[in-house]
Amino acid sequence: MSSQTLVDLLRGGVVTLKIACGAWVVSAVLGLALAVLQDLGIAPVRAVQSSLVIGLRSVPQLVLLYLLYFGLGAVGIQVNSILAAILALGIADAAFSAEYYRAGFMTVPRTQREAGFSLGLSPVGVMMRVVVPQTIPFVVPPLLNSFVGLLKTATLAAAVGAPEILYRGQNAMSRTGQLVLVMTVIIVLYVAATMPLTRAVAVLERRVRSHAHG
Amino acid sequence: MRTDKTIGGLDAAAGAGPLLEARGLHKRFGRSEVLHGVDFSVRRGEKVCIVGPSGSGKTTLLRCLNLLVEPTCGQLFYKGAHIGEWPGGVKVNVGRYRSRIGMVFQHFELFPHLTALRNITLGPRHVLHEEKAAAEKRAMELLARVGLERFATAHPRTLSGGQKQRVAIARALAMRPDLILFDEPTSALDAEMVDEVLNLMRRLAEDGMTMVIVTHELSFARDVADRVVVMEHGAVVEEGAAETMFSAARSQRTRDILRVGARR
Repeated sequence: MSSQTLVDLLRGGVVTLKIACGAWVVSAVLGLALAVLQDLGIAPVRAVQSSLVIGLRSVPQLVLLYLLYFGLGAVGIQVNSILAAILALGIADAAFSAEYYRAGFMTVPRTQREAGFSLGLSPVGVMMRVVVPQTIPFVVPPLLNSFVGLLKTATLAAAVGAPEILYRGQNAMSRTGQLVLVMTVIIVLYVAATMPLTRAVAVLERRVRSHAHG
Repeated sequence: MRTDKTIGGLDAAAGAGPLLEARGLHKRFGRSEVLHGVDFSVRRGEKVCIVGPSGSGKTTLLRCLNLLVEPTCGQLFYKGAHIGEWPGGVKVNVGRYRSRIGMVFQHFELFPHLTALRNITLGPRHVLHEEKAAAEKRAMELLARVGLERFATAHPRTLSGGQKQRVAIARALAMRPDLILFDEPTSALDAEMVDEVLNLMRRLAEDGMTMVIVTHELSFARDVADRVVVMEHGAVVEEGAAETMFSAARSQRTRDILRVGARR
C-alpha cells in the first residue's frame, strides 16, 4: 500500500472521529434534556417524549441519516454530509443516553431531592443542582461505551458521501484492488482506537462501583 | 407558580398571631390516614417539641408544614397569609415559602457531591441569588459557629455523623430562615455524638431561633422547649407549656409517653 493511501485512510479516521465526537456530544446533551424532562413529569411532555424515544430506538440510523441528508436537501436546507451524520447518529443515540441518565437518577435517594426542595430550589433546580451532578459518575461509563459504538456507526456516513474512513477505504479498494489489505488497515486502526477506551470504561466502572459503596 | 403579589404576605411583619399555623390537617396515604385533623401553631421565637411513639404522625406533620408532603385536608397559614387549603392546593410560590423555613433531617441529607462549604452556599447562591463571595464569607462564619471551620473543603463522606448534622444545621441557617424544622435530628447518631448536636441546638434556641423539633430526647425537650406537643395515632393527645407537661400532664397517656420515652 502506498503511503499516500495510508495517509488518506488516516485522514478518513480523523473525520470518523469528528463524526463520533460530534454525535456523542449531541447524544449526551439531548439525552440529558430528554431524561430531565421526563423526570419533571409534565404529562403531555412525557407522552410526546416517550413516543419519541420509542420511535428513535426503532428507526435504523441509516434511515435517519438519509432523512436528514436527503430529506432536508429536498426542502431546500443544504446540510453537509458530516453535519448530517453527526445529527442523525447523535439524535438516534440520545434515546439510549436518556435511559442511562434515567437509571442514574434512580440511584439518587428521594430524600436528597427533599433536601434540595427544603432549601427552596425549584424542581428544575433540584434536578440540575442535586440530582444530575450525583448521577454523572454513574453515566460516564455507559456514555463512553456508547462512544465506542458511535465510532463504529460513524462509518454509516459513507452512505451519504462523508469522507470518513470507510468511504476512503472503498475508494482505495476500487483504485488499488487491495481489498484485504485496506480492510486490515481499517481494522487495525479501529482496534487501536477502541481498545484503550474499552479498558478505560472497565476501570471507571470499577471505580464508580467502589465509590458508591465506600 | 404565582406572582410576587400573592406571596406578599410572606414578607409582612408577623402580627400578634402565630408565625406558622396549621388547622385541621389530615393526611391520607392510600387507605391509611396518618393525620386525623391536627391543629398546630408556633409563635415567633418559640421552641416547640413534638414527641410521641413512632408512627404517631410527628414526622408527617412536620413535613406538611413545609409542604414536602401535601395535606389531604386542612389549611396552612404563614404570618397570617393563606399558604394553602386542601382539598385544593397551594396558593403561593412553594419554593419561596420553603426558603423561609429551614429543615434538618434525621439522616442529614448533605449533598455528597459538594464540600461542606458548597453544601452551605447552595441555597444562598441559587435560591437567594447571593454573590459567590458574600455567600462563601457567610458560610465560613456559619461553619465557625458550628465549630467546623477547618472542614470547609471536606466532603460529607469524610465527616462523622455529628459533624454532618452540624453542617446540615449551618446549611439551614445560611438561608436566614424564620424558623427551622428538626426531624429527629439526633436519632441517627451514635450516642457520643448526640450531645454535640443537642448543644448546638441549645445555642440556637438561646439565640432566639424559632424551632419545631420532632424528638425522642425528652430531657432536651424539657430543658429547651417552651411548649410540648404529644402525638399518638395521628392526633395530638395533649399539649402545653413544657414545665406543666413534664410535671402535671392531664392525661395518663401523656405521663406515660413523657416518662418512659418513645422507643423507635
